[in-house]
Amino acid sequence: MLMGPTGVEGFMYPNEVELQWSVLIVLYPFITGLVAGAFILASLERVFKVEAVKPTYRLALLTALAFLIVAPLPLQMHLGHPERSFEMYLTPHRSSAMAMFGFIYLWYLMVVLLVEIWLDYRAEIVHRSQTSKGLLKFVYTLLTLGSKNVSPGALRLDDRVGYIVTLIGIPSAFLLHGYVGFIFGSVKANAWWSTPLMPIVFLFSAMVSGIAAVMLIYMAVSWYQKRPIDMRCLDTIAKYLFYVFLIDFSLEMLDLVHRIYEADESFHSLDFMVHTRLFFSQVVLQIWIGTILPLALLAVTQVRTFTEAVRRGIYASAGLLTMVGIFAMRWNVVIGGQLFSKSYLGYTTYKLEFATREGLLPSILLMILPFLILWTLVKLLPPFEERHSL
Amino acid sequence: MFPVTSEHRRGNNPLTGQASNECDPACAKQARGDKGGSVPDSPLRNGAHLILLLAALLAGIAIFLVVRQAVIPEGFGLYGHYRAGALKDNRMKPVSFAGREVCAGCHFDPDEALRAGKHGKISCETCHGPQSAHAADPASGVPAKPNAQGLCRRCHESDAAKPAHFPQVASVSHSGGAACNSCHEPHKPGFAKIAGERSGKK
Amino acid sequence: MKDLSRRQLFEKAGRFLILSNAAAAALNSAEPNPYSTADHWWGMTIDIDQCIGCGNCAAACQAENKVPEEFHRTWIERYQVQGDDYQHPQVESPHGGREGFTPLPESAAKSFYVPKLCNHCATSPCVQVCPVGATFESPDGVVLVDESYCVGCRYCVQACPYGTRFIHPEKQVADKCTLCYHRITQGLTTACAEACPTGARKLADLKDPKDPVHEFLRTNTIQVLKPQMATGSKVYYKNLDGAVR
Ligand code: HEC
Ligand code: HEC
Ligand code: HEC
Ligand code: HEC
Repeated sequence: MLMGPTGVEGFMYPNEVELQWSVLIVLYPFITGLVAGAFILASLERVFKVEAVKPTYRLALLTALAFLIVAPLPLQMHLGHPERSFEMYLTPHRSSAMAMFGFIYLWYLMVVLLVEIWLDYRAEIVHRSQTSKGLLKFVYTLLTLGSKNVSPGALRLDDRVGYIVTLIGIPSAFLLHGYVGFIFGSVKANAWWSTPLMPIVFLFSAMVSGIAAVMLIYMAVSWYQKRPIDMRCLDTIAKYLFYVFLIDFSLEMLDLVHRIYEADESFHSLDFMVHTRLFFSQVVLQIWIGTILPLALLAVTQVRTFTEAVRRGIYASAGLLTMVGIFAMRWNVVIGGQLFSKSYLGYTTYKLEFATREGLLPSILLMILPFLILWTLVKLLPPFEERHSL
Repeated sequence: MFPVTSEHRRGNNPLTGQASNECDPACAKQARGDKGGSVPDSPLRNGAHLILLLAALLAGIAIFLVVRQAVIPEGFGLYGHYRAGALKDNRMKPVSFAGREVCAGCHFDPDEALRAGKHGKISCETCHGPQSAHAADPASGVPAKPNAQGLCRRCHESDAAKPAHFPQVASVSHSGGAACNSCHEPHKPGFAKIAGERSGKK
Repeated sequence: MKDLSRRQLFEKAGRFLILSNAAAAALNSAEPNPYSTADHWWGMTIDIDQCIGCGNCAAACQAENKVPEEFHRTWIERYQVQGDDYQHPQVESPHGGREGFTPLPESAAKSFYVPKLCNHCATSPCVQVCPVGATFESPDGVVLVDESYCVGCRYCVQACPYGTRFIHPEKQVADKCTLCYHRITQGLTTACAEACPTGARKLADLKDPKDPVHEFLRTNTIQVLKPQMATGSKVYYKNLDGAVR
């Protein structure tokens, strides 16, 4: 078969040549995955009482918030008419998987995450509203929402309500990301996406990426602030990462094996793709470098004992590889699902541009933004005790 | 009610630095100081900020519902989950192909010629292109004459993918490059001109 | 014009103008002409045995609906099937067939043309996924887009199993075949059917008992595209080959 000038091989329906969903839509499930994963890590401590991960509780919440704020931006930037996006709230179409996202997002942001963070930080916000000066004082005063009541009774109440919110938050986090999986998994026209496993796979990969992200951020922040790392905490996080990753990997392999064994009408096309256009991002990056390697690294730490420094090194590299693997997975789902023709007779290529609206540059900026937000949040609401300052 | 105790939440780990350890009493004192007296530890009082939060949330929802009612497009949902006016919008698009009946209303001869021959089922605008502007106002312009050569070949050039029953010619051997309409009348391709002019083909 | 005196001509022209003005006026009024959506249920029939691949339908559609150069509301595919290898047909559709096809020499392969367009599905996956209600099925069975309401999220393009949707490069909204809704609601046929020289594609009103479509469906071997998608497609193909995707 010949390669056409547009990168088309074989036959595509004429309207299919250009991809519909770009790298921005790769970011969207990647970012919401981080949100859901980070939140679930936080709730480990709160609801399942895994004491060891406590040092990262607040950091995980702030990470979730920082990424959640950015999550809708790639979607918004991708729309043909961003100025009309409010219509999703005005006239949401109940049968559309996408329409409900707006509501789940708002619910999760306003009712779960903000409330939980606020309740947890309230005492400190009140304190800072009285001790800080200038603009900061104003900001903190605003954040108190006009209540300065931090009596033990009030704090106890906050704690209980916070617990309930976390309890609601866990299914909400599941919903938030499982739902993103459903947006893809329910497209019957697309054989690469259409599988009931999609929401589950998305959910577990979300947890994997969220846990890995918080672990890395915890190490980075500790290093930056020259604060000793709580190794018991890190070991526990790594253990959870390992187990959740195992489940995630099994699910993905189940999907793969199922496809290979069933070998339905789409198989020839998908198989060809995995061996050619997706070989690097799917087989090399996602499966070998981004999954099997970090899994092996983590597995070694589970069966052998190492010094703290070695463990930290292993965790950091496993965490980084995991992030690469999960990003590759999102890429392979979103972009991979559009590289083959729905006629199963041809393939197209994705041309990633640089400084265009849906190019690489805005994507990089969008990935930097949550860290800037997180940096501000950490300054504003320190997740760790600060004995020296204030 | 819930298995959360202040012991679990607060002050266990020095790294979390929960407010209760250090700043809580201070804050609480200050807060009390602000109020200039003792704060009774009543649930209502302690929950005031939560009630405020809930109220703000409900107010937000209420405002949303009111605004939504106000800005929802007119006629949305009348026939289904869409703007009723969209039906009319789609109907108002301009027409480019006037249709054979319209052409026939003025051009009797081509119409009659066409009907009599094998091209009888073909609409005028298949060969002459969209002419609604001309039909609405003939003075606005005379349609260009179609290029017979390209036109005829597009339909009649031999092609294995065409249904076998369709009359096809390999133009090179059939006419040797001569204009198709030098022998065939486009409107009545089977008759007239051909008779006698050509001894035979194939 | 030998056949008609100028005077005669302009009398006729006047009549046509009056007619068309009346039609336009009726359309513009709040109560549009007698057309009632309840009386129709539109679809299309395509007779593979009649299609000669001239591409006039695709060209006419573009002219009628100002379809952008690189996208297609309707197009023609040419299939070639070698022997029993119906799983791997060779398919081509240069410019969607708008300029016709280069002739195919006789060979051992079986070859034929397949016109494609929106199937105006009764349970349409594109309508299902639209988050805001910007694409919808009209009461008379035509899947339409509300250009002033579409947010351009492209979910519908992904959801269509037939590849009939695209994003209009200038308008940045979903665009697709409207079954010439502006024509069929005035008693005209679609531009593609108007331009089809052989009657391979015909507009069908499934609610009209006198429409030949009923006879067509009853007496022929009928198939829809990708029946496994169960979309309730209303574009009925006669003698569609199993190799067609
Ligand atoms: C098969 C294609 C075809 C169809 C169908 C067709 N025409 Fe033509 N027509 C031609 C061609 C080709 C010419 C130019 C002939 C020439 O150059 O001498 C032409 C010429 C004409 C002319 C110029 C005067 C003349 O008679 O040469 C008129 C008027 C005309 N057509 C009207 C019509 C109308 C009205 C219809 C529909 C009833 C129609 N045509 C259908 C191909 C067609
Ligand atoms: C849009 C397609 C189209 C174009 C353009 C067209 N024809 Fe035809 N032609 C047809 C069709 C359809 C028939 C009828 C075939 C049938 O009866 O099966 C036909 C029939 C004929 C026949 C009669 C064949 C027979 O068996 O009697 C001749 C001759 C012919 N065309 C010549 C021409 C010439 C010359 C031109 C160019 C002026 C032309 N055609 C342009 C579609 C076209
Ligand atoms: C020199 C005169 C001449 C020219 C030029 C000419 N034809 Fe013909 N054509 C004929 C004659 C005579 C016949 C009828 C003879 C026959 O049926 O075998 C015919 C028959 C046909 C037929 C019917 C074939 C069939 O199998 O029924 C078609 C179609 C046709 N011509 C198309 C064309 C096209 C297209 C062109 C231009 C490329 C063209 N002709 C140019 C003389 C001509
Ligand atoms: C209102 C009457 C009217 C209608 C309807 C009409 N025409 Fe004409 N047409 C004319 C007149 C008058 C002329 C001659 C204009 C002139 O010579 O200035 C003409 C000229 C033409 C010519 C050019 C003839 C030549 O000698 O080159 C073509 C081709 C033609 N018309 C095609 C069509 C087609 C196709 C339609 C259907 C869409 C159509 N017309 C509808 C009145 C009409």
